[in-house]
Amino acid sequence: MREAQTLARLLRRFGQVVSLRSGGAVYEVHAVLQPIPEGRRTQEQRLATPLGVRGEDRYLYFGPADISLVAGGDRGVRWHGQNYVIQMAHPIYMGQKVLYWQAVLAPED
Amino acid sequence: MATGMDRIRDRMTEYLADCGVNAISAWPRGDRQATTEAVVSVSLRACQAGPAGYQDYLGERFCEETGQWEEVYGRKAKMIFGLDIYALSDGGEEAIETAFDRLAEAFAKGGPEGMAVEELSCGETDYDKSGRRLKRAVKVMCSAYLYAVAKPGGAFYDFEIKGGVKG
Repeated sequence: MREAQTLARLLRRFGQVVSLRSGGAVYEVHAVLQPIPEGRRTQEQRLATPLGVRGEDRYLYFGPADISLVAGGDRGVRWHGQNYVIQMAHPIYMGQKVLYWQAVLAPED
Repeated sequence: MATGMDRIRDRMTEYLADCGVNAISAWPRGDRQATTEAVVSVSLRACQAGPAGYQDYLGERFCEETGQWEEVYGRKAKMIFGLDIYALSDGGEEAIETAFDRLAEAFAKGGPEGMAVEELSCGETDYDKSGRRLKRAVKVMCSAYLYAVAKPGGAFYDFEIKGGVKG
């Protein structure tokens, strides 16, 4: 599919190299990560909790169609020395084929 | 003059840690630690001090160091500690169960010095959205005497915590 190939080329060119861990395996992929500022203007970036201070940032992930993501479990993303948990993940379809994967990531602690 | 209450929560945390429980005093300043083990967060949830004798007078005791009788004053305090257990969602219920067993074992042995453990109770495990962890609310009720010794001139030494009646 030409659209998927074009997107994969764009991810390779403009994306960052991130590590995906899934089921004991680690994959290096090109993906785009960007902070999600919407609706978070009134929230603290770092929040005190009974177990210690925690980062509240959320990131939107756009990654290649051939590496699927699953929320929770032992799956996660590592980027710039920080581990992220996958809060939600969805395949985005064009017609019958997956065009790319979209996910929301939160810093892991 | 210290009231005897300043380190009471840390004393509970230290006791649990000595008994092999992964316990921290609640709301630490640093970053949350990454751990797959369940964590017990220790907080002082409530404290109520009331009279333990006439005019808070508990009686006299003989001090071997000075060779004199001293008057002891104090109040009886009831404290409720929050010992909430947090664990990761993935396989967390088992970790919570293990942590609660360790807590029960720790209190079966006794309790922190100067405190009499009266009741240990817990709720059911639930998902804590803000903490992004499984959480089981646990509390333990303790009693202790906050007492002070009057010097011959009438002044008080610092208050200390002394054990309540152990069952």
